Order: sequence, then structure tokens, then C-alpha cells
Amino acid sequence: MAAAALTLLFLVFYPLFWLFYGSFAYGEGSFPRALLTEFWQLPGLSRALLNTLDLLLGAVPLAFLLALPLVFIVTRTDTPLKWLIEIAAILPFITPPLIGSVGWALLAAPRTGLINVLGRELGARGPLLNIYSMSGLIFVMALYVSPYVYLTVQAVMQRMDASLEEASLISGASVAKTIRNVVLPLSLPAILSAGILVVTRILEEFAIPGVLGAPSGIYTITTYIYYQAISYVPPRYEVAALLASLLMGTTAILLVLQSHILGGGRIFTTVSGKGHAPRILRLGRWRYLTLAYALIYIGATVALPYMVLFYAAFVSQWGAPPVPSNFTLANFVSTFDPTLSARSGLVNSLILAVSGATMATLLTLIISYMITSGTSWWRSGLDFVSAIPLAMPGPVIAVAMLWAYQGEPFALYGTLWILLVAYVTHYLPYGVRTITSSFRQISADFARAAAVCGAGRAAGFRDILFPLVQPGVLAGWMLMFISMIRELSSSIFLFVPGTETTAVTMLEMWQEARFSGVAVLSLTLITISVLVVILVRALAGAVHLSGPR
Amino acid sequence: MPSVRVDGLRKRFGEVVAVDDISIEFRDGEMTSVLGPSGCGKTTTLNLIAGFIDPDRGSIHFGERLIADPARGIVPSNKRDIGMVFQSYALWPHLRVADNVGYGLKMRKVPRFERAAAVRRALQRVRLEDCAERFPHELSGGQQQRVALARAIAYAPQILLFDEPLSNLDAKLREEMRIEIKEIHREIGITSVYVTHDQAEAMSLSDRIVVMGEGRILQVGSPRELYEEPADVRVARFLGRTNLFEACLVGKDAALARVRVEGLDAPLPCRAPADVTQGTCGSLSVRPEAVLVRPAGGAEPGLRGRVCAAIYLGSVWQLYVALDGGKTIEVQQTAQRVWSLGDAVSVAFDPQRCFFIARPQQPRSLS
Repeated sequence: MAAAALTLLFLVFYPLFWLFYGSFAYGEGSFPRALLTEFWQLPGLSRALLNTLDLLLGAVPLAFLLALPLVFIVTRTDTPLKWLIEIAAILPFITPPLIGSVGWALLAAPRTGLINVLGRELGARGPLLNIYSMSGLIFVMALYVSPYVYLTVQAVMQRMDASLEEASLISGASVAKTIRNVVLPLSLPAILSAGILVVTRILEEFAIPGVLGAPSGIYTITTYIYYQAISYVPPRYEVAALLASLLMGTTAILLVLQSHILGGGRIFTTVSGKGHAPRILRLGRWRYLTLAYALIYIGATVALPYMVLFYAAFVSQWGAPPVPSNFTLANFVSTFDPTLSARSGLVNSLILAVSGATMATLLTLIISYMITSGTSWWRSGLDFVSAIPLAMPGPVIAVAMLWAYQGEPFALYGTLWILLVAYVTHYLPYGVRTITSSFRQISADFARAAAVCGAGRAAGFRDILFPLVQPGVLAGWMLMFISMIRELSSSIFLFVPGTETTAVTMLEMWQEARFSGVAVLSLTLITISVLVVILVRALAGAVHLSGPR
Repeated sequence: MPSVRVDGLRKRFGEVVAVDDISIEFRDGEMTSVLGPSGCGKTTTLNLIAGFIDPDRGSIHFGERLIADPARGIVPSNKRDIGMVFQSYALWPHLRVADNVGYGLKMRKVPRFERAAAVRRALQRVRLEDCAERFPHELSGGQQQRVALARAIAYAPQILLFDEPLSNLDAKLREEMRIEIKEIHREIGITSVYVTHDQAEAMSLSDRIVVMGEGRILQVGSPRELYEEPADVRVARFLGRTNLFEACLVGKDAALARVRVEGLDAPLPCRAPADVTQGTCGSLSVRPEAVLVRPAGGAEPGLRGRVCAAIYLGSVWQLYVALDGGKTIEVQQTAQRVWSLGDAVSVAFDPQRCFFIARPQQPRSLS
């Protein structure tokens, strides 16, 4: 137990120390002055920060604009096929942003994008859409963060006691006034918190600006750190450290803000689980309009990108008409050619995801047990420390790792180990969240009853607590596996030739315009994730049979 | 069977002193209830005996064996050889009934065959031998409660602890279980500590009752002693109903004492504790059934009053009588005549069932 706690402290604080050390190393001793003068003069930096701001200003409102109607449709209307909409609305959530942006690039790249190819054939002179632009970036980003808005706000709307609204209507308020005076204030904490979540997501996103922005020189803070600091020759590690610290500080502030908004249980006290279901609006003929909206959303986020990925993976030649004779498995064979990095990349990703998820699960299992059963001061301490990586997006973790594990005594750079350590550190909070909530659902009396029966700490854990948290542990493992197998935002900083991961190979192939290979790898990743989900479900089902809760 | 001895036990949670220097012996083979309103420290006391929390000061002995003393060491729960029935039952949901009941035996490394026999015996005792292969969630609340009891007695522990075990059951089931627990305790005779806030439960189940209030022990005694000779007004109020009068002791002889009650001319005869001396002030406790009410105008002496509420309860009348002095008292009368609102009455107290409670001079320590 003490070993687990020490491991946690080391994993979090050692790289953090180096990150701050690296930040102060900037300007070789003339730290504060150099920061104020030279640093901001770095070519392209202010442009990249402005781009990031533009992206936020565009994508955050657009994400709300896309998601809120969907929330309304699902919770308050009689639109047909609602079950389908509900499932489809969270699909982009499951799709890695790398795959989504690749899908959209295949659709709307100015020359080769299928939409533009089709447009040319129909007689359009210029490209119809250009995804390699700020508006393209904003559009794809908004599509992929909108599920966060949807999920957060939908949960509140679903639980909102309809009698609160009815009370307002009965008191004589109009529908508009009821929305303004009752519905909005009640859902405001959820909306604000969703907004903050979306901002942090956009700030830390690497794949979308990497795929869509970087080719045309549009850098955001994360891609700037990569292209202009780390893979700059010679690498500017101090610049990377400073920018990573800046990103981390911003994320930390946002997260603290969010927990304040959600804190005090306001959201849960005003919106009780009791009461009756909200009224369903009968839309009449208009319900086909709402259905159409939902279908367009699903098309843009899921259907179109996936269709083009299937097409790209199986078609013999890019641009050929989608008829059976043009489909082949040759792309799979050539992509997984033993001499190419895609094959070893997939093996690396599998090794990393299986061992990383397993190690992180074991570590978080012990940490979660300590958080939920230890004495109070060390309980809250561990809880806090294990949440710190939440404020460290992938690029921040990676830059910290580069500082911490490049030299002695822990020279891990150049091996798979550094990726493993980065993954475990990055996804620790996910595991801790999932598993502590499993522990918290278990009444303390269960452990006490075991102790009274004569079971020591170890026996009680083995016989009673572990079987009860097992479903949560499996879910945590699954969550971490799926996150790790698709990991890009820190891997891209940490790989060397030979330790590529699948996502890294995809980005490399993308830059070499090997679209079919990227599509093949995308489908492979999705298939593996789905298989793992099915496998874990089956396992959890077996657990349930042997002991229903 | 060992007794459970608690000496000078104290436990604080932050600013709150949950258990404040209590000393008591739970005698061997007896069922002792710890009774009190919520927040009186009874559950903390039980948790200290079970070992879920450690005392700040004081000691716990099971027989001659030291169990807990911050200065000399603490035996963990799993080494105390206790059985416990929880308010939440705490049946492990992933284990079958037989495995729940057999867990304590498994921990004691009892061979499989003997274990199965012991599990069967325990389940027979609670009349659930047919449910051995079921999961807890397949049982009713009452059945779950009985499994919890079977689990606690299956390995024949030295001490049995009950934490409000019946509070989640409905009234009828509660009464049945009360009888069943009493029956089982008579058969196996384990030293038992039973925590409850239900005075009827405490009185019907236990050989002795410990009444607690604000972290201290207010009184220890048999149900009858506590009801008839409460040592503290809180005990009198908590066990049954009573009418309390401010009173001072003015005379005493072998059989009865006399107290002067404010607002009344003549002293009232009553019983009083042996150690109370003349001049002591405190309260006179008059149980509702110790009051005799007659229509006014009779020859017998009595206090005058008027019926201000009359509730017919079948076997008895519950009357509220406003005395001429201004005080309203509660009265219970067997239902031989009809009472109605406003009736002028004459009230007399049965001296044998009136008890004088001295006001405590300083925090008393009882053992």
C-alpha cells in the first residue's frame, strides 16, 4: 500500500518538478526578463495563441448550437427514432478525434476530398469545401466536442422535476418566461460546466489541429509545442516546458472553476431525482424537421466520416466509383506489410494498452481502496494528487516526461517504457474516478461484517471488497485500454523510430498521403475497441451470474 | 462466556465528545440493551466494543482479556471473536446464504464438512434451512435479518453485538423477530449487547438496560427498576410517559417520603431513593396510570381540575386534565366510565407509583 502511494507520488511529482525546472531554465539564468521579452517574440507563437483563441471562440458556441437542439429533441419532443438519436449522439464521443478528422479530411480536402472531387465532376470550378482552414478546424472540433455538451446538459434535463416547470406555468408565466426564469437557471450550472469541459478539451486536443491545421500552417498551442519546439532543429525544450506549464496552469484554473460551479451540490439539490418526467411536446408535422436535424447531425459526426473510411480502406484506387468490382483487401495486406512500421506500431500499441491499462488498474485499485478506507488526511491528499494529471493534457505530460526521463537516473527515452509511464500517469485519474466510485457504492458495513467474522484486511479485501468492486475495476480497465490504444497527443512527442504507436503511424502515413493505410488503421483501431468492449461486457456478465448484486 | 467490561471509555469526533468517560460491565450470558435517543453515544459505544473505532482513553476487557486500551494496545476486530448483527444486515450480495453464514467458520479454518453442518444448524435455528442456496437479494427483509443473525451465531462467538437490528422491519415483523431473538439468546446464552432507540424493544428483550444520554450513562438497571425508580428525569421521560412536577423532599419515614410541590398546599406522599435526604429538590414523576380521576364533588380529598382532552383507546382512556394550578397532566384510566370534554374532576396520585428524582448535584459516575 505504501509502495502504491509512493509510486503515485513519484509518477505525478517527478515529471512535474522537471516541467517547472525546465520552464525556469528558459533564457539561461535571465529567466523573468527573457520570458517577458524574447519569449513572446518567438516566430509564430503569438499567431498560434491567437489561433487557439479563434478556435475556442468559434468551436465552443458552435458545439452548443449543435448539441442543445439535440438535447431538446431527445428530452422534450415526440420526434420519431429517438432511441437511435440517443445512441448516435454519443458516437462521436467514442470515435477518436484523429479518426474523425481524417474522415473529414478525406471528404473535404480541397483537391482530393471526395466532396470536392464530386463537385469538380459536376462542373464546380474551385473546391466546394476546404477543411484545411480555420473554419474547417472549428467545424470538426465543434462536432467532436458537442457530445460533452449533449451528455452534461441532457443528464440535467432528464432529471429535472417537471413539477417545477408546471408550477411556473400554473402561476401564469408564459412558456418563454418559464424557460427564462425556471429552466435556464436550473440548468445553468450544467451548461457552464459543460462549457468549461469543452474549453479544456479544445485546448488539449492535438489530433484535429495536427491533421487539419498543421498542413496549411495553422498551429494551435499543442501543435506549436510539437512542430515549433520539440521537432524543431535543434529542439527547444525550454520553450516547450514554458508553453506546457502555461497550458497546464490554464487547465488547472478551469478545472478548479468547474468544481466550484458543481460544488456545494447545487446542481443535485435543485434537480432532485424524484418528481415526475418532463412533459413531452407534441410536434405534429414539425417532428420530421427535428428528425431531419438529428439525422444531419448523425451524418456529419458519424455516418459520413465512417463511410468514407470504409471506402478508403477497401477501394482499390482513390476516387474510383464505389461498385463491388473496385473493392479489395489489398490495402490491408500492403498496410500490414512486415517491413513497414504500421505492423510494429500496432504491436506496440497493443503491448502498451494491455500492460498500461493493467498496471494503471492495479495501481488505481490500491489507491482507490486507500482513498475510500484510509484515515482522513491521507485520504483527501491521495484523492487530490491522483486528480493532478487531469490538469495535464497529453502534450504537457509528454513534455514533462521528456524533461524527466531523458537523462539519468531514469533514462527511459527511446524505449516503450517512457510511453508506458506517460500513459499510466495520464489515465490514472480515469481509473481512480471509476474505481473509487465503485468502492463508495459499497456500504462500510460489508467490510465491518467481514472483520467481525474474523477476516483480516487481506482476506476481507480478497473475499468481500474485491468481488464487489470487480465490475467497476473491469470498466476502469476497459476505459483505460481504449484510451491508451488510440493515444496520440503524448505518444507523438515521445516515440522514436521503432517505438511508434498506431496513432503515430497514422499521422505519419497521413503526412505521406497514404490515405488507404490511414483508413485501414482507423478501422482496425475501432474494431479492437469494440471487441474489447464486447469481451469485457461478457466477462462482467459472467461475474454477475456468479454473484448478482 | 466472558463478560464485557468497559472502564472510563472516552471517544471524541472533532469537537463532539461522543462517549464521555463511561464505565459498565455487560454481565456474562446476559442480554443487555443500550438505550437512548439518537446521538446519545450508544452506537459509538458499540463500535468501540466491535473495534471499528479506537477509544481515546479507557479500556475494554472481554473477561480477563484486554481488548482495547490506547496505552496498552488494541486487538483488531477480526481477533476479538465477536458476532454482530447490523442495522443494514450487511449480507454480502455476491455470496449465497450458506456462504454468508459459513464465512466466519471459513476464517476460523473449520474443515469443510464440519462447516456445512454448522451452517445447517445455524440456519435451522433461524428456520431458514431451505434458503441456503439463495442469494440475499432473493429473500424478504425479515429473512435477510434472520440470515444476518445466523451468520453472527454460526461460529459461536464469545460476544454478540446488535446494532438496531430491527429498525428496518415493519411493526409486526419487528415483534416476531424480538421474540425469536430472545428465544435464541436463551438457548445459546451468549453475552449480548443490544443497541436500540426503541424502549419497547429494550424492555421486552433484555435482562438489563443501560440508558445513555449525551455520551454518558444515565442509569443501569432491570426494565422494572428503570421504569419504577428512574434516577434521572431523562430516563423517566424516555421510558414510557410521565408527568413531572418540581418538588422538594420535606419528610421521610420507613415506607414513604413526602414532597412539597409548587402550587399545592399539602405535601404529597411518594417513594424516594434511600440516599436522598430531607431538603433535596428535584422532580416528582407521576406515571399516567398512577393518577386516579373521579368526578368532582365526592368526599375524598384531591386536586381539582377539568378534562381538556379525552381520547378513547379501547382498553383505556387517555385523558388530559388541566389542574387548577395551571399545569396539564396526562392520565390513563381503565375504560369503565365515559369522560367528555370539560368534565370537572378530582385527581389523586397513587403514592406507591409516584417517584421522587433528585436533581443531580454534579455529573455522576456510575459503574
